[in-house]
Amino acid sequence: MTDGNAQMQMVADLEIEMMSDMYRRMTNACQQKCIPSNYREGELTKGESVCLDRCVAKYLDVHERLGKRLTNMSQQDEAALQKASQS
Amino acid sequence: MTSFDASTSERKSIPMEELFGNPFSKPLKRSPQAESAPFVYTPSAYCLLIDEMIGKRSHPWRLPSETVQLKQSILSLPPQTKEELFMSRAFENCFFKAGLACVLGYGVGLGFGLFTASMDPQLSMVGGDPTKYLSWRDTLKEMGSRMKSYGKNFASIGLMFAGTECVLETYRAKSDWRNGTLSGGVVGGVLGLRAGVKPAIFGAAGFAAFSTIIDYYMHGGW
Repeated sequence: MTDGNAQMQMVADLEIEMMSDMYRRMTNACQQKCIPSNYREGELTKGESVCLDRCVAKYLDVHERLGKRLTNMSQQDEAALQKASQS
Repeated sequence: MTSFDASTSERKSIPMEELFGNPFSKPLKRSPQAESAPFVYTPSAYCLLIDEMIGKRSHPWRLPSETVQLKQSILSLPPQTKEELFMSRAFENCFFKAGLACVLGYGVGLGFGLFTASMDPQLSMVGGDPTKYLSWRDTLKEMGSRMKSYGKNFASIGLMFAGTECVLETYRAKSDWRNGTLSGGVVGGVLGLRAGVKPAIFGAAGFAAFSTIIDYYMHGGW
């Protein structure tokens, strides 16, 4: 029981760390792509906010798909490894 | 996976030493239990973990903002309230901007028409005697008609210009000096197209230049 709790705690900590790392990378990438550095005013213009919406949507979509593909590949590799070690 | 895999076929699986090992050595004795027991894949802790976080078990309908609350530091903005979202959606879209430009253009046209009607009344030149003073009623009629026609002109120009500029900015997803110039070109071309192709080209060039100069002065530079 305590091991399960500790494991869930670890999973939650790792998830928080992963999410904040993804957030940091996403803000860096989208700021580099969408917001040019000659600042004329402090408000986000319409073009910039449209660009940021699209950038965030694409980033999250790519993150989702690559994550699923990565877990599939690692599970297949691990299954092959277990099968080879068993037989 | 496919039928080419020898270990999953219905025949007895060929051990690796028989295929690739020394053909003259004695075959190893294998216990029959190992061959008859079916293979069950048990994922390790690592695979379980990444499956939970980014794999098939992560729920796409659960937004990242709902699962994990990032630490709010001093310099980070709080999430937008419902009222802020409503204001940003209602007052920052293309329809509202074009409509606002139309209404403001109508107001400016009214003022402009009133001013020019008082300075240069044209009704006296068409029908009556230019040397006689205009009556009260004629002046009012002239002012009214001038205001309405100027107001309609300015309103349509403002609507078209603001609409095309907003649409261009949304499509390009950039906000630089080219939006004003291109939309000025479009509006000038459309206005001049009633008279022909060459006036359309001149009108487009002139309106684009005018729009660029106005943007330059309004923003104090590029």
